[in-house]
Amino acid sequence: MGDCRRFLDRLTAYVDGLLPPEERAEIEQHLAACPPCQDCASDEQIARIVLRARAVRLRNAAVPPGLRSRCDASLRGRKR
Amino acid sequence: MRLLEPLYATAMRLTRNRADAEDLVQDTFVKALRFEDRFTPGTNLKAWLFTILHNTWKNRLRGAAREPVDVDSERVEEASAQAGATDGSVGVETPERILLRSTLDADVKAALDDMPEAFRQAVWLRDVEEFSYAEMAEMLGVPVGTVMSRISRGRRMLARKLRGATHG
Repeated sequence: MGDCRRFLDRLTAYVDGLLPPEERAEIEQHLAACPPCQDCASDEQIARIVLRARAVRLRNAAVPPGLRSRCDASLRGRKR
Repeated sequence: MRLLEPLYATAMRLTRNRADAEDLVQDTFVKALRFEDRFTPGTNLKAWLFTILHNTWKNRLRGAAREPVDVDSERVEEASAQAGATDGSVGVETPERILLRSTLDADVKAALDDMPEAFRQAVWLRDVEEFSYAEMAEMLGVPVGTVMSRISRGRRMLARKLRGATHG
């Protein structure tokens, strides 16, 4: 596990596709040989895919009308 | 104001209830207007507003002492990692496509709301709001390494919870 730590620290950047090719290859080599780390990588990928597939709907929550009008009122107050 | 929806959606995930979320967004809005001269035009308005939102929420928690603020504690992270590990044994072979298809938005929200705040925040800001690690580090006031570790643990925790949800 001590050795895996080195790879787990970079797993997020790997899953996000932000590692340079040589580091990416190094991680992939380790994942192929280490089922527990492979499971971690798969779980990260799954959560990332599920959230990003829904991101637009999740972030566009229906704002309660009362809140919108209070915010609009603050904005109008500032412009006066 | 087109950023109101994402601010409110994020406030809902932070507070997990509508009344607190409304108060939080309104406070954020009022503060943003009061300090608008501190915003540098041409920089990221959304990141600036989210920083105010998170700081306002942190101050509230500190004031109300509702939840420990030291979310960096190894103990919190280890405990949640272990809690996840115990229920991770079912359905390991589930293809992600089945999970994607069988998961409802409500399942995702419920799974997120069930996670410790630090991890919920991290995956939400990264995968729903799509902020960079550096933006998140500044917003949350923690090092980039901590941001990445929270995203990693948060995503794995979420995957396990969703798998549990779809298998009853």
